[in-house]
Amino acid sequence: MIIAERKPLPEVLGMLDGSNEILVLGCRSCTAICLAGGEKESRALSEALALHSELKGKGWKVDTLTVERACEKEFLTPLNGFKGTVVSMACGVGAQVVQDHGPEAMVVPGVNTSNMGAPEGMGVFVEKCAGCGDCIIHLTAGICPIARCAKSLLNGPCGGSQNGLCEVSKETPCAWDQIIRSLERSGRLDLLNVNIPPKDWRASRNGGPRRVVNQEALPGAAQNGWRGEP
Amino acid sequence: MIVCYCCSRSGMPAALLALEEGGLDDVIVREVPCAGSVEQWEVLRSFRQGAEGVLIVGCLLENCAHHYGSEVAARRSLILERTVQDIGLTKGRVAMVHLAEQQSARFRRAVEEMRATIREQGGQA
Repeated sequence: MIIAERKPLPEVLGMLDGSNEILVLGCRSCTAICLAGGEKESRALSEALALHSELKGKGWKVDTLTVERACEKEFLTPLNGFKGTVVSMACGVGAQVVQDHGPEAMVVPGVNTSNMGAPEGMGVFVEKCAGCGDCIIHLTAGICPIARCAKSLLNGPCGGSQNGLCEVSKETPCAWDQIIRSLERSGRLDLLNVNIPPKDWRASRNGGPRRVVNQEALPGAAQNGWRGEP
Repeated sequence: MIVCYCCSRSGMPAALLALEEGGLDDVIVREVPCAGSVEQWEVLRSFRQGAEGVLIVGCLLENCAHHYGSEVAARRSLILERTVQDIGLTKGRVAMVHLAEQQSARFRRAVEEMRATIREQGGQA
């Protein structure tokens, strides 16, 4: 899922100068799971903004709404025709889809979107995938060296790997230490002999925004073209 | 007015005992199943509804009936204290007190301390 964290309140308040009608938009998907922008967090921010407005006489009309997934326009119909300021508690994707959906609204981010990761324990979320577009985790014991190694090394650890930890931080385990131990456990150490060639980064961010088309799901005329029909 | 969110196991019996003894007319007690269940938005709404301060009253640490609810509430109260200052209120508006059910004196002391802090900062309590 996408990991995000709440922006500091003063930063959000700074973005709202000159606003009149404010809608705090939460998302029940990723940002709710990482406790950054779900229903509870959106309500808290909404109450905070309303309280600030009352104390400082800003005259804001603050409301809150939480949708199932802010990154899909189908769930954004309650926002139809909204012309005020939307504080998006969804990830950067959701915020942009909301802006696309309602061009008359002004969308401001209420969270900082960080990475694609997973919960490691209560309240701890760790990056697991860098979205490089060319997955090789079948060679690395299901552990991604691109996302989890500070140097994104593909063929073994660097000299900074000490006692299973990365030199970057004592809280960061060395991905290659984990990979080798995991391969050892599963008796697949032979995979270390596979030389992973230099990565083709064109499938990653280097080629600009990526577009994925699922031919099966294309509707109508576009699907005919794919079938070779006129 | 000080709103006290009291957990049903420890906070509520202590608060009721203290209220019986009198002198806490400005205190509003709200019973919750666990201090850890008090959400940020609830506390912030209390301020919008006229609270001068919010006290979260839960079990003693490591003696919480819900294991770590009291701990969660303590951390949340620190975040809320920072939040209300960011919003524009003076400090000392949100606090957490850990007590056992017979410790009404500790409840009273926490309320009085909060009242004093708010008055010191120029607010009413």
